[in-house]
Amino acid sequence: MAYRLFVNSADGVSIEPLYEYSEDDFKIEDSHRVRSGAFYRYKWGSVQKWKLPFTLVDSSFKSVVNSWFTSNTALLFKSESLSAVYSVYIMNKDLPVGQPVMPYDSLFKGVIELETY
Amino acid sequence: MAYSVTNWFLEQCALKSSTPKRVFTLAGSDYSARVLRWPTISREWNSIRPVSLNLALANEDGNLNIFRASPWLMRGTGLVKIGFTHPSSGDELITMYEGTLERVKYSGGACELQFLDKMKEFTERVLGSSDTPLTYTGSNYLPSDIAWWLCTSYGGKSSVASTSNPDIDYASFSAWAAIFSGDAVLVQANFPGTKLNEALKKIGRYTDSGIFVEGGKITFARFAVTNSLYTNLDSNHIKKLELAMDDTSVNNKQHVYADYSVGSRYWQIDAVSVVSASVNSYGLREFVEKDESVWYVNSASAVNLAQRRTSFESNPIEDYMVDTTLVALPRQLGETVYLADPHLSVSSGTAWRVMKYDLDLNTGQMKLNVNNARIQQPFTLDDATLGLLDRTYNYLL
Repeated sequence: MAYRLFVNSADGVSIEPLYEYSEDDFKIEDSHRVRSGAFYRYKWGSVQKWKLPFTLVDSSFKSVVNSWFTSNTALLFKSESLSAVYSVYIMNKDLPVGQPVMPYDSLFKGVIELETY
Repeated sequence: MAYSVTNWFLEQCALKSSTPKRVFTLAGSDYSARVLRWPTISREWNSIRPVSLNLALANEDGNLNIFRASPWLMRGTGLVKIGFTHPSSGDELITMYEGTLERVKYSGGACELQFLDKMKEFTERVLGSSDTPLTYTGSNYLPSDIAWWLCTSYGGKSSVASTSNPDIDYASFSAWAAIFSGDAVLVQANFPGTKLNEALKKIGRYTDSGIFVEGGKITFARFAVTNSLYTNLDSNHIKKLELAMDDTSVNNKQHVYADYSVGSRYWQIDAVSVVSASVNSYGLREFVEKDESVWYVNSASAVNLAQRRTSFESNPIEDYMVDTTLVALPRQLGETVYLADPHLSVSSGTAWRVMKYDLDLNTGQMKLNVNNARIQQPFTLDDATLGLLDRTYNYLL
């Protein structure tokens, strides 16, 4: 299972997430419980969200992804086996790629959190 | 003018689970995706003041700094719409608000916009002055004619006398004017430096009429019989229901002073209407209607108002505050709600008029203020609604 995170066809990275990969889509909705007990819910929209843990990426990957994170770059995201493309931002609170995989000093691990916009 | 929507739209409003769509456009551009919090739209039948709308938009990318670079763009018209997306025919939306951008505030990453609706110009313009008042004393006039001249000649609104008038709901105006011409209700007026909205307020009060903005147009109404457009609300739609009855609202003897002499500053006619049954029940509750700006010219015109007041107000008004869902979305001011509440023994056969509402576009909650202060429910043979023994048989009508 591989994914592509990219700005354009020339500028992107491929991600092979670990088993902890997850999709955490959520809805934006409001609900109203009326006096009979009936429940009304209005869905105004939805957000798609992915969490992609990975390991053993090189310093080039680290540098590209972290620069997108730092500059709030608008990105595109897709599964390499599907055609759907999503407009996303990296939503991590901290640098997505920062932790070296010991004993290597040039390979890293991290988590990328993506949300559609 | 009532919303023009399909039955499919009404069905969506009543669904327990739906996907409403909200749209905000400014000067024709769609900024819906930037809205941080959708506003609450409040309207009242007789306040005659501009309804404001506040919207905060995401501006982290700086794209809305256009107002700083080009301040003239602030004159743009903002539209807020709500509706549903039909699977085959696309969006079906109703315009809940139309106003002109008045104020822009940049705060943090947000751009906060404030709009005011078509009543705004009425608060900015003055009629006559103390030494040269604007007078309508040369003849006798229909109050609707004076209101039309105020809105068009002084308020700057379109004077197109057809339903294509972009500012005034001409259908409602025509119906309103026909009431006065039919009853030969005639007035004179004198505005010595009166704010235009105050002058309209006096005409509204003096004719017991509602003047408000619905569907982006100034609407005139003198409520009488039940509006045929209605929604049924029962415990399956009501989140919260409150009833308030105010004994001080009882009016069983109404004086309307008329034939005002501007030079002598006194009224030469005191037209009176009394409802004896109400006096016997509640004691004498006397009110006087007199105005130096607008006055009736004869007893017949004055007693028209006096009788209307005592007819509607001789018993305490039942004022219901109803919190409900989008099921009431299609209702405008003046339209009808049939309530059913077993606890208060309110049966669904009684009609209540929408006099005020707050639509929270953020959550889809609607607060209605409905009452029986201005509603008559006659039985009219062969009428599509008033001719029915059970007027609630099909709530989608």
